[in-house]
Amino acid sequence: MSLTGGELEAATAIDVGGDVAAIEGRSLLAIAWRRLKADKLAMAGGVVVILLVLIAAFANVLQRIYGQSYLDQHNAGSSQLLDPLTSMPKGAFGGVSSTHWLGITPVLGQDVLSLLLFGARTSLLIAVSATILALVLGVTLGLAAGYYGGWIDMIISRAMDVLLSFPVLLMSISLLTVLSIYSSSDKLRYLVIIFVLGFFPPGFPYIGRIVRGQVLSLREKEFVEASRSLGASNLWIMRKEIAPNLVGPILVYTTLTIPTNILGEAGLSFLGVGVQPPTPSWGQMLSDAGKYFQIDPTYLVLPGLAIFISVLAFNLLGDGLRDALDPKSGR
Amino acid sequence: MKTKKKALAAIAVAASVTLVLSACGGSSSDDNSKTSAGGYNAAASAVVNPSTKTGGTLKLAATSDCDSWDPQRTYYGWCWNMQRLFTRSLVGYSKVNGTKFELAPDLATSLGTHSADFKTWTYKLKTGLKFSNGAPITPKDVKYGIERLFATDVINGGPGSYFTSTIDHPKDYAGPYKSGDLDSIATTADSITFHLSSAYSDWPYLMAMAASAPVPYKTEGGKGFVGATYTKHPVSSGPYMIKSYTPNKSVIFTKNPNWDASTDTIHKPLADEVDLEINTNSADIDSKLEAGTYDAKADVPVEAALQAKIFTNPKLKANADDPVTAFTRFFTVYQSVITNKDCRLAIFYATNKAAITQAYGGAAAGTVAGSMTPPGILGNDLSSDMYPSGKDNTGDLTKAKAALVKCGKPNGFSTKMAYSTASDASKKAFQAEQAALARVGIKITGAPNDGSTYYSTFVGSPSNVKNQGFGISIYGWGADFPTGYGFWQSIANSNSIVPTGNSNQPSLKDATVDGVLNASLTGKSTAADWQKLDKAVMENAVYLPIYFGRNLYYRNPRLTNITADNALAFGIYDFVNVGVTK
Repeated sequence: MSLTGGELEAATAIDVGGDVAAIEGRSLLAIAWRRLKADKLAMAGGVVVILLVLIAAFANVLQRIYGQSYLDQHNAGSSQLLDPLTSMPKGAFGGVSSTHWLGITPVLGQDVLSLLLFGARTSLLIAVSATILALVLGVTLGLAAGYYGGWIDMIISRAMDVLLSFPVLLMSISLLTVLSIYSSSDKLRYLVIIFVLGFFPPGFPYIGRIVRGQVLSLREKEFVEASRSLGASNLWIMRKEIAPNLVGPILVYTTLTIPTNILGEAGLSFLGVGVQPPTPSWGQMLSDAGKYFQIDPTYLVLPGLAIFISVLAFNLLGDGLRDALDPKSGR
Repeated sequence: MKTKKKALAAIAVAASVTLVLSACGGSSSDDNSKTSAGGYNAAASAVVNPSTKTGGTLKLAATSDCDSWDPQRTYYGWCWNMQRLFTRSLVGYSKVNGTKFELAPDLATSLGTHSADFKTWTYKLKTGLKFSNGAPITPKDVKYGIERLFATDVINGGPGSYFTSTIDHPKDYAGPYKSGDLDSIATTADSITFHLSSAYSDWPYLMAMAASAPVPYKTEGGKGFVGATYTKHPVSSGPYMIKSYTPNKSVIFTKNPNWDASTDTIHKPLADEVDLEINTNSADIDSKLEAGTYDAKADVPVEAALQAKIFTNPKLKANADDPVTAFTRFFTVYQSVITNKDCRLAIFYATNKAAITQAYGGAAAGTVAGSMTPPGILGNDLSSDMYPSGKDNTGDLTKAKAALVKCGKPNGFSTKMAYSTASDASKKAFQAEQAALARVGIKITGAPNDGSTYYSTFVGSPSNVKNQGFGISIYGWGADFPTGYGFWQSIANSNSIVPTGNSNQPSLKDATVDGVLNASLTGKSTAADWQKLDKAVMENAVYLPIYFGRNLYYRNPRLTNITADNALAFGIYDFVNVGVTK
């Protein structure tokens, strides 16, 4: 009697898709995937993203193969690889050698490559978790606001407006500074960073607004009215009729929020209020490097490059996804 | 006196320094001082480019403004050095033979005469002394300056407690603003007598602090510049006077026309003007120092970048000095949290002192320490090392593991380590300690503090230390004046323990320690006494000495008559006597 969500989705796709006649029953996502595959830049971004995720997930395995750990410091005694007077590594390019492929850091003498590998883990863990938080809050509240309208919309939208006007950077710096007075827990610090990045713009309020906007137009669509006239409950309609149509924008938004959060985490760590040593982070590495760039710019270049590449990869993938999922992109 | 910046290092140069210096070329000048034509570390114990040529402007830079320009309210070591430009006190520090700074009479004719019980001290003032406003400096003005220290509601932040805890006074005496004159400081037309509530043999050292500088009786800096606002317009009693002061921006000193060289054997000003610029970017100061825009940094040592350049470029190195300071970097290992002494000893033995010293700048920043008393303080014994830390000072893991077995935790334990993130080096030192202790299974997690409350309520509060479970914290200490008492009193005497801002970090209560400190007040202590105290402190295994400090400074080659002031301010240059060429 009733149509399934998938069938409806297919029906919508047929409505708007161009070359539908030839390919029967292809969903919006399948079409998008076909378009995405044709977008070389986006695919390149996607490959790098997958690599990054693998590096982050298997950092300890990679490190074991490589044979050097950032936890080993070459700063004293027989393992000393630093010049005791300058605290800088002996040898060219920050002590590059067959054992330390990218050299070692000044002062502590830690392996740079190992720091970069584990920095990727920190960076992605925080960026992805914050994005998930933003998604969960944004989709739920945006959906409720858009679908129910009225006073629910009023409260949620105004709340998001308030959040959008928060001086996020200043607030997060002070919040994390205050935190360090009361607690030295690493886990709590992680949670607060994730909360700050996910809850405040650019996090949940942005995605909340986007979802609300989409839902506002979707709820007036015929298939929703049809469902409603057949006696479907509000929750059922939101879950089965509207939510599937939000997958596109959500996916795009996710890939574009992760790089912003990578930058956010790096920024906070750079300012010294993000993750604390010995947990490696690219932002920390950059901050340390600032003091030595006159002597050896390598320390600035490597973490900078790591941040640059990951942000670029996510952005390329995100842009590609947007093009692929937007039926009006004219491709 | 906790941080490098805040603490005032006092040092009467140790033999080791002379050894370092004997390699430098010296030439004898007519005043029989030790002099040098320059070279690396030359100014650490000799006068470089001796000259009597006057004129020119000395350009200094500092990373922050002074805590106060009011002599009674400042406690930063480098600010005490700046006070030397424009204030004098009964006693001062004078360079002897160009090699060491020692107490010398300044406004007074002697270091003071005392009663047999060290409870009464009398000084006679020189004649012809004048403030920059032309008024004569009288014993009343000296008395008034010291009375101000009792007005803790307006005159605070300085080392006033040294005076308020020793000068005999009625309980309710609250300074000259509220309570008027203090009877226990008696004055005549040319003399002043202090009556103390208990013996105090180090009294002349207090008289040499900027805090005992004279302040014009009742009128202070003139209308609108009395009490808390005196910092904006302090009246000069020294060779220079403040011409203009823009807070957090600049201070310009010019010669004080009313200063009479014939009354002064300590200060021999050469430059016509001294400009101090506040520049919060320490690295920027360094590059301007290198370019010659600034002549010297007035407050902190050079940063890592310039340090690396100095040791790779012989031309720069020839203008750098690395004087020894009377500063000891140590970790506190709290007995309130780690109650078992063997567990604390495991930390002592496992600590990699060489790596931590490297984190603070390596060989240029200090030499690994085996005991607490730094060079320049009576009782310093470089051979003393109760808990030797193994080969190359990287830790003795065998002994550490044995200590762990004895404490009943053979596989190690977990604790927290407090450090201030205001200093990048402390962050690195924490990481180094974490890696070092992990070698024997002791796991430490960091308890970072941004520095603003570190010394007051973070580790400065024994109850906070206990509640938060800090097993270890990073600390350091430089003496307020170069005596055993000046170094130890705040950090070891049981009567120094206070609920906040506590410096007796481990809340040490040791009868031997207290005994030596209290006996020293009657002037009887010898090097052996202080060594006994040091050993008693080490016996408790609560202070883990890491290194004895050195500070790396850079001087513009155009400076003349320059030498490190090793009695004051962490070996910073004695700017009052520096001249410039060109």
